[in-house]
Amino acid sequence: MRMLQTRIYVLLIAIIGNILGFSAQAQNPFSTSAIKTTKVDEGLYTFSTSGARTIAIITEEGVIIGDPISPSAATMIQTEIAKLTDRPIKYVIYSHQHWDHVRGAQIFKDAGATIVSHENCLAHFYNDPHPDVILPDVTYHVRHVIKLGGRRIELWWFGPNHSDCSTFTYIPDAKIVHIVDTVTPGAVAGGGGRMADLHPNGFITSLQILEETLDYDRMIPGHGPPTAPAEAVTIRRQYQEALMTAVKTEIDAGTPLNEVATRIDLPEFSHLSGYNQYLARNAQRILVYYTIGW
Amino acid sequence: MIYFPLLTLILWGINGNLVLAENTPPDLSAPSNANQSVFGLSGYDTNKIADGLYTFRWEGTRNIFLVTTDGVIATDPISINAAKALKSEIAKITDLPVKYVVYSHNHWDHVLGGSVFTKDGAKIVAHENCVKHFKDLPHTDLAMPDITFSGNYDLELGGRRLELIYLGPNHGDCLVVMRPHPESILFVVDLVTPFGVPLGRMNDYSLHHWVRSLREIEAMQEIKAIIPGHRMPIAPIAALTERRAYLEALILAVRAELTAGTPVNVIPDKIHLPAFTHMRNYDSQIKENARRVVTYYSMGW
Repeated sequence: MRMLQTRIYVLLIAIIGNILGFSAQAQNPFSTSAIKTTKVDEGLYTFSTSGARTIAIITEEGVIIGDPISPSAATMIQTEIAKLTDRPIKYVIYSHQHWDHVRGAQIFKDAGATIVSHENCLAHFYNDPHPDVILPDVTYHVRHVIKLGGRRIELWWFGPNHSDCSTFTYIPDAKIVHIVDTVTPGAVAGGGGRMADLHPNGFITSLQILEETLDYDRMIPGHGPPTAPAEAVTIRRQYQEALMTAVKTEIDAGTPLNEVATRIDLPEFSHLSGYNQYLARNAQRILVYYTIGW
Repeated sequence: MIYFPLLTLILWGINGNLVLAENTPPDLSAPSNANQSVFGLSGYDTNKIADGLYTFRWEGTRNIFLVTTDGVIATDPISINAAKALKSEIAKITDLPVKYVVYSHNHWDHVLGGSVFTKDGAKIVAHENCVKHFKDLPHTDLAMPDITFSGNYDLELGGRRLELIYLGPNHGDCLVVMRPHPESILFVVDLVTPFGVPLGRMNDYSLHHWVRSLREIEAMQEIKAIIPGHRMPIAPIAALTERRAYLEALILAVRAELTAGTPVNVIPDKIHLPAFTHMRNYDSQIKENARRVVTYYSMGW
C-alpha cells in the first residue's frame, strides 16, 4: 500500500514538474511592441524597446550591437539598423546574463554575428537555461578589445556588481560607456528595490575602478534615458556607500534587525527616483548581506 | 568570483596609473552583533534524537552532532558564542574530542565560530564550492575548511557514518544535506523551515533548483524525518513536501498571471493560495514571495 502511494505520488510530482515548465516557456513580462531609436554620437545609436535599452556602433566594416533584449526586440533592432547602414552586424555583446536583456540573439548569429560575453555568464546560462538565450561564441576574463572598421571598442569586467558577469562596453572615440543595470541614472537600486542578484561587496569597488579607469563623459544605461552624464555613476556609488554605512551603523548600535530597514534615512539622496518607495527594501538587502554574507 | 586586491593589481597592470577615488568606503565586514536571532527565540538547548545523535539550538538556529566511540562529529558552529555553548553541551555527554565540524553551506548565520573547535584539533569539512565564497567574503569569525570534496562525501568516525549529500545549486551552490546513518533522518538547512513559508525575497535561492532539490530529497524513500537548520528539533518529511508543494503552487500561480498578461506590479496582489494559508508567515510573506517569482520569470534569477 505504501509502495502504491509512493508511486502515485512520484507520478504526481512528474506531472506537476511538466506543468511548471520552468525554463521552457518563460516570457518577458515587460513586452511592448514599439522601438525608439536615438542617435547619441557619430555612428553610435541607442534603441529602447520591450522595457530595455541597447546600443549599436556602426563602423566602415560592420556593426557592433549590445544586448538583443528579446526575439521580438531583436527583429526590430535588425530592421532599425538596416535603415542606418547596409553593413552586416558582426558582434553582439551580452551586458550580463539576465533574460530581460539577452534573449533573441539567434537572428544575429544566423546572419554571421559573433556573440561575446564575460566568462562568468556561462555558468548562469548552463544553470538557468532559456530557449531564447544562446551561448556566447567568445568569452573573456578582464578586458576584451574589438577592432572593427577603424573603431576600437573595449569590453571591461570590473568584478561583481549587479551581476558577476557584467560587461561595461566602452566606446573611447565617443567617450561613452554603456552600463546595463549596475547604474540606472538618477535612481536608487532597482529590481523593484530588492536589488535582484546584486553583489553588495563588489558593487562599490566595481564603480570606483570604472570611474578611475575609463575616460568618459556620458553613459548609456540599460533602462531609462538614452544618455546620462558621467556623474550618474558617481551618485549611484555614493548612494550605495551611504546606504551600506547607514545599515552597518544601525547594526553596530544594536538596533533590532527587524527594525533596521525602517530606520534608514538618506536625505541627501531623496531626489533619486524610487527613493521613497524602495529605500527600505534596498536597506533590507544590505541587511541580508551583513547577516548571512550574501 | 574574484578577490578584489588581485583584481585591482590586474587592472593596475593594464593601466599603470590606477588610483582609487578618495572617499570613505563602507566597512564590508560583518558587524559582531549581526548574528542576533531573527526568529524570536533566545537561549540554547540540546535534544537527543536517536542513539548518539543530538541537535543543538542556539536562538533560532540549529545544528546536529554525532557522538561516536572515537570522538564527535559536529556541524554548523553558528557563531563564536554558540560554538562555546555547544562545546559545553557536548562535554556533558562525552569526554571525547570533537574531531570534525561540517559546514552545511556558506552563509554566516550558520558557519561562524569554528575556531572554538579547531584550536583543539578539529578539522573543518565543507563542499569545495564554499571556499570561493569564503575567500570572496572573508569573515574574522570564520574558520576555513581543512577538508573539501566535490559531489557526495562519507565522513566516518567510530563506526558511524555521516553521509554528506550534495544536490547541486539550490540555496547557494555549496549546500549539503546530511544523513547520520543508520537513522532515517536528514539534517536539512534552509531548504525547508517546517510549517512556514519562505521569508521575503528568498535570499540566495535558485528557484527551480530549489524545487528540484526538494523533490530529490522526497525521492529518498528511507528518509522519514528532517532536522531543520532553524526552529524545531525535528519534523516529519511531510513538512518538506508541504514546502515544496507551496513553492510549486506559488510558481504556477505567478506564471498563470504572467501568461494572462497581468501587469507585473499587480501580480503580488492577485496571488492567493488557499491550500497554504495555514503556514506560518503566509499572510506577511506571500506578496514578497510572489515578487521573487516574478523576478525569476523576468530575468532568470
